Amino acid sequence: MKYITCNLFLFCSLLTTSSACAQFYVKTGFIFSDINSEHIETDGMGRMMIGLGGFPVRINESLRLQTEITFTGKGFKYSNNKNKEQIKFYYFTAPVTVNYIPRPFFSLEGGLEIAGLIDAKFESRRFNDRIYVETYSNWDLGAVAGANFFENQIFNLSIRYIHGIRSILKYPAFDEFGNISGEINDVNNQTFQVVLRVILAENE
Amino acid sequence: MNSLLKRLIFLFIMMEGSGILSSCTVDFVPDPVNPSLTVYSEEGKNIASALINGQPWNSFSSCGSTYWCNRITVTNQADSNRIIIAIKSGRIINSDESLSIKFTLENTGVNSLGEIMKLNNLRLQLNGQPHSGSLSTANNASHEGQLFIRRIISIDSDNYIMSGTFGFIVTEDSGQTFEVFKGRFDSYISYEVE
Repeated sequence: MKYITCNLFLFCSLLTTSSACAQFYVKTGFIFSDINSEHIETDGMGRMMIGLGGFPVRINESLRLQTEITFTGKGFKYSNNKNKEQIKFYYFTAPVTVNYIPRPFFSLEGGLEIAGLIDAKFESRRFNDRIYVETYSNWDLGAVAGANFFENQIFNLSIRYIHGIRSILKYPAFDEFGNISGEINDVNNQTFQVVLRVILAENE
Repeated sequence: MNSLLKRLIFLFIMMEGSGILSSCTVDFVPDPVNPSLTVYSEEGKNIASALINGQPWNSFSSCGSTYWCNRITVTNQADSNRIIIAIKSGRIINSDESLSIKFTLENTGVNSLGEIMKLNNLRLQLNGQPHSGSLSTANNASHEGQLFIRRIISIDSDNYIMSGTFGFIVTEDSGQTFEVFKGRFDSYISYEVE
């Protein structure tokens, strides 16, 4: 909760200290999500996201800062699993990126995303109910790279790849007889987003 | 176009938000690597699981994490200086087969519930000399394996939580082999004297 409050404060601060360039938007879209780990065999899964964002600070003619708050679904499916078992994560995320604008209708972006885990659910054919999963880290950090299209339109499109740079799991690796043979700490979120953005306000 | 956005947001709430709203806890918490097994924990979840010849076997209570729902019974056979740790009956996934797992430990020095802490952080070889593991559906005891009682937590003088890991191999006279691998348990215990 402290994490979310801090990020909301940061987000609001950036919005209210806006310079001559200020553009705010809502966004929603599709996510293809998976994890990257040597210890867990997985397949990707589709999720969705929704959020608010803006460009509160223009650094120069071709660079500007972008901040967002989103509610994002992530997760993965276990491979070769008869019971179709899968984990769904629910995150509040706060990506902060720098946008480079080579053309008026197109921009490239790069930055960081910090995410707070709200909930994690295990789903399986074996059970009727979703099951709360407490095993995973309650925050995540990712590197962001993406591109935005038709930025001069009210409705525009954004694609983004986020690669987790922090393991969301720390868990002992057990051998057959129950000895701990190491620690699993290489489980990183990977998400690819295709998002529709709608500009709500523009002051430029 | 605004209606398109509203529809997308509505779709999002239906697909993603419903997961949050329909939260419901069950006592089975999956292992993050092998979700057919229960997670390894040390807090009295009243769960146990293992792979038996590669098939997931799970023993967990549907009534929660309290003493009354425990999965482990420690029986002290006082006259023979032997204790038996039995994990209550569990099911093999996608099968109707149900069985329990038992560990027979000799000369542990535990003669009362108050002395159960002597088993804390104790690693025992289950090769039949003198300790062994067994399945309720097999006749013989293990000839290879290990029980590691990693942690015993004293809640009060009558309530203890025992957590640990195990693995062992049993070979029947018929030649059939049972490999019980990647075992783990975390439960309040019942204590009995015979």
